Amino acid sequence: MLGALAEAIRLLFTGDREVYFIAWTSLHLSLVSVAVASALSLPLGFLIALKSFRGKKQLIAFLNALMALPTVVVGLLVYSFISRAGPLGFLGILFTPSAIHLGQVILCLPLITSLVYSALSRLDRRLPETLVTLGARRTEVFRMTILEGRIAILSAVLSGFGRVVGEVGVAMMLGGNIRWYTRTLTTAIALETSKGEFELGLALGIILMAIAFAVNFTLHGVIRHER
Amino acid sequence: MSAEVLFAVEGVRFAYGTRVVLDVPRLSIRDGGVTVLMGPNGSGKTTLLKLLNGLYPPAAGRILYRGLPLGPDTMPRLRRETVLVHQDPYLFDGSVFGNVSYGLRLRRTPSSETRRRVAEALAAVGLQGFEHRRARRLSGGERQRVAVARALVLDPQVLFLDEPTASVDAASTDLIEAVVRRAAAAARCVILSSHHQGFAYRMADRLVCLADGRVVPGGENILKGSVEAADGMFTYFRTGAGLLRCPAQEGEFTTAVLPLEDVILSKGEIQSSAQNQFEGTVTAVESGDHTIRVTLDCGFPVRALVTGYSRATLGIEPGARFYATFKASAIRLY
Repeated sequence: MLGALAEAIRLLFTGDREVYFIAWTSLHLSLVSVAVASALSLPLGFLIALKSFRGKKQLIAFLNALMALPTVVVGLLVYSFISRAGPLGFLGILFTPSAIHLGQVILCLPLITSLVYSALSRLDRRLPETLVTLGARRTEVFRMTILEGRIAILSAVLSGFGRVVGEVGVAMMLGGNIRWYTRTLTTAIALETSKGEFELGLALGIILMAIAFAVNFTLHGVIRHER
Repeated sequence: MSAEVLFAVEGVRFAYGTRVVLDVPRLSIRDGGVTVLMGPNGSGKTTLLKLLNGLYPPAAGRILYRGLPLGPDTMPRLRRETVLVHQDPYLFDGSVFGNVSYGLRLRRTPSSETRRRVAEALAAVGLQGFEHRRARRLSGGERQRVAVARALVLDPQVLFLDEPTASVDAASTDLIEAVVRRAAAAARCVILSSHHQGFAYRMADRLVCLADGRVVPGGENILKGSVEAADGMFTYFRTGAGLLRCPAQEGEFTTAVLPLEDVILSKGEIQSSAQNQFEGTVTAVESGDHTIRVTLDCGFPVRALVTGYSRATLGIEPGARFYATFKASAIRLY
């Protein structure tokens, strides 16, 4: 374990370009996927929380069920769609970062939506009424609701980030673990460990954890500073 | 005071699920002054306020604002001209300034004017210099006053206050009373709900009584005026052309409350221990469920309850002259 830690520090500080590239690929793939998923989840969670409609309970139960979606199943499903023979095969995105984005968005969309819904439905019922009586229109009510619920929403987004940054199934099946292209920390760990490079795998794992912690602390810091 | 009808409620029903919480076949609220919705908890006061403010859509019936039915076309005007302050209001996370200036920011008011108006609104509720305080760290009374300032800063035509004194200290109650009086004096209309009788009587130019989601006839004469003299035996309260003898008590009272059932009508003067007797003309006779309400103009309006038998035998009809007699001890001063 100590050896792995020493190897991780050595890799980080000796400026191993490939390790930097892999870490960066992991980070930016996850961030972009979470950003896209959040952009869809926030209005979706908002609508589910504030609107009454037929089938609402069933939709929430369905989203909750999807939260436990296995990554390999998502990878498999998306694969079947974007592989050459699939209905979206013409896009030619299999084994590209775009494929990973697609899979990761599908993976974390139900999770973030469900958590955003849960966060917003716990917000005070007086908030929307207060906003409306003071003259806020629909978009402003949405903006202020997100702002007032930002801590819980941030937790939802970070949960989504946690889900995608550490997943292997989608990145491996849709990205193909291609060196200098779609290799992420998790696929690299899987590869190195299977090659018997246990120490290197562990070192990459430590870097992955460091990235996850750094993103969490940074975002929490930003929100705290705003308050 | 304008007699224009501000809100007309026509056949409005509102339900939570299958439970009907408000059923008002007809109600008019006149413009100007202070209208108080009074009733116990759960009588439908808050629901009625929120319906009038367009926060809830009625399940049935319609509400007219200045003669126009509330709907997509009239809602922007209602939003511009009215604002509601909740009981135990929600304050946004952030500063007092952020809270009070919120409505002005929505209306794109220039920042210098915003600062001035926020300072004025805070001064009106006794919170000068509170701009940079964290709103949610204030006491209950201060929070209520911040919410009132947040509404006042918009200079609304109609101010709705839901139980404004329910959870505040005596000092905050006085300040809120002063705010309501100033708003009413500035030709604004204040519609507030209260289950606190003293506050309701002091503030009300008009009283709407609610019970179990229905508007019920008020059981009391609410007479506005002032104390003219006190001699140890009685306190003399001037209302219109009448000088009422009330139980001796000290204080600055503005309202005398006289239960309808404590007023006796007679064709001639009667000799009794009752200290108040006024002659007047019957101006209205309304039939209720079991009793008849008679309004007498004695230089001030006095309402009394009589039975159908009394009406028939005494000939109580509009235009007839009658005496209204009531005991000093029947009057409560607020």
